[in-house]
Amino acid sequence: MTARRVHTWVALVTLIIGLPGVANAYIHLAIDRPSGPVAIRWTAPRVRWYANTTAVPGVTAAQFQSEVAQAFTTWETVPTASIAFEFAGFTSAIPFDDDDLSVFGFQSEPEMDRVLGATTFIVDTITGNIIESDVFFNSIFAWSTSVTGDPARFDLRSVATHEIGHFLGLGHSAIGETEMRPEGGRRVLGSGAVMFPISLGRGAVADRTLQPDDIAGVSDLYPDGDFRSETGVISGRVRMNGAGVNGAHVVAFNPQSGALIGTFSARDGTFRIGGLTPGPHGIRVEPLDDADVDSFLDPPGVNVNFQVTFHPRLIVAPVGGANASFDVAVQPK
Amino acid sequence: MNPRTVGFALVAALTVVTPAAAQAPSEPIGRLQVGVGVGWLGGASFGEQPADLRTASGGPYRLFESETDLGAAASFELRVGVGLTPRFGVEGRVARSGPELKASVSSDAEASGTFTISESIDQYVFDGGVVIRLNEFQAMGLLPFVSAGAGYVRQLHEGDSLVEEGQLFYAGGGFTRVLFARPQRFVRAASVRADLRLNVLSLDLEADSSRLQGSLAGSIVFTF
Repeated sequence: MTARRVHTWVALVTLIIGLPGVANAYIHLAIDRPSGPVAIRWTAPRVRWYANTTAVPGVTAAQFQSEVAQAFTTWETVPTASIAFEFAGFTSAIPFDDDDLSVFGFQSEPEMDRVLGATTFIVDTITGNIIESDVFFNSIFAWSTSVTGDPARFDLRSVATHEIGHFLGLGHSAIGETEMRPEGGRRVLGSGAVMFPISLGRGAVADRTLQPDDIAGVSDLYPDGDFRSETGVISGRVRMNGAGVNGAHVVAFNPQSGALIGTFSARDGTFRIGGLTPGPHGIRVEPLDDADVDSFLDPPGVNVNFQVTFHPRLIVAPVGGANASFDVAVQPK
Repeated sequence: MNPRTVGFALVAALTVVTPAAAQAPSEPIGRLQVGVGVGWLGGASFGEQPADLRTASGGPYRLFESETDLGAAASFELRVGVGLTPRFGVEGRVARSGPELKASVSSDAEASGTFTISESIDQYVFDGGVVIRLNEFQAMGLLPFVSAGAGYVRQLHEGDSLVEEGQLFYAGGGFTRVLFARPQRFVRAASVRADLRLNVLSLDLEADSSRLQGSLAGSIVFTF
């Protein structure tokens, strides 16, 4: 193979997130190529995964495998996406080993005391094909498989659903609102995506269910036959004082359904949101201030010094195509 | 004079009571009628739709509120019909209007104030139906009628970026007043007409939703 293998990782955290990965427009993980970013994705029609046999208090190995399998099913059954998974068996191999096996398992990582779970990749840096991806769940935390949630423990299936989003090539979504905790870190007031980088907290099971932003993201990456011809794209540019705004969080709001689907603007201020239900959408632009910027993007150059703005025109997502590009003007704070 | 003013003027002309002749002139039966007119298409509400995030309990956290309306607009129409009997007639109509779709956004979690977001739509309606003249209620030269029918709606969003199609059903009524009748001439008669309608509109992209729209129109009709 001529391609160089590289590792990158993303993580779901309890309070603050760290992400030294590369995020691309439309919140897909990507590798930078001279010709532009290349989204990373699986190309195999059926992705095989293994479960590590390590158990933790409250979760047996069999329960672990079952919860992860159900989280995979959540993504596999998105009707507008085409991706399939296969449980290949239990293994003693551990996550993060370069062994050509995609392994899910518990590991104790006490130095990562705010990280619930993380996903690593080995990717072909020419094509963006994912060769191997491992997911670990930090066993320094207490885990639960309770259907209704355990207020003292983190819900394994919710975190697995988030990590499998990364496993598929999705980055973090910024659709969410947080507030600072007096003791430090952030508390999530509400999130609009399973791929929001900060956990809803102990006892919460809501993130077992995907939201519109998650569904659009995975469908855009692994489109089912009619997905692209039946949905629309909105693209444009965020400007302040005439210059493009880097790292603005742009959300398309469907006034009929209430669905929120977002992305980030690139360095030149351009953005593209795919997978939209055809029809008019409101466009809301906000600075990345509900989590650390490096949860989403490489921080240098990201502009967070502007006001939340609604574009004054409804923008139409055409059926199977893209709108005429437009500018959203934002004002400095 | 703008179209809306013309529409109101035509409607007003029908409501002016003039001394009735002993026998008001009537429109010829079985002849082609062509009418042009202007009117006013009432607004319609799409209702409220909040942008909700999901909380730890699974309940909503409101990011902002939104309420969407289709604004009222002037309309232009061309009508073709024929009177089959003194009581019954059939007619077809094409109408164009340019309503504005407006979303009002408020109570944003991070921004104060209310924001209005809008888009212009070109709307075309092709419909057809029956007209029943209520001859027994004719008075002061005004002949009341009721009408009902169905049609096809085509909405072009801004920049023709999206075409929405749908169906329309309507019921309404109004009055006609014959201005003159000259049975031996090419133009055999001319009349003015006022229409008041209630439309039920369903668009294909808005599954499971229909909306009510009132409309008012005045037209001048020539019989050939």
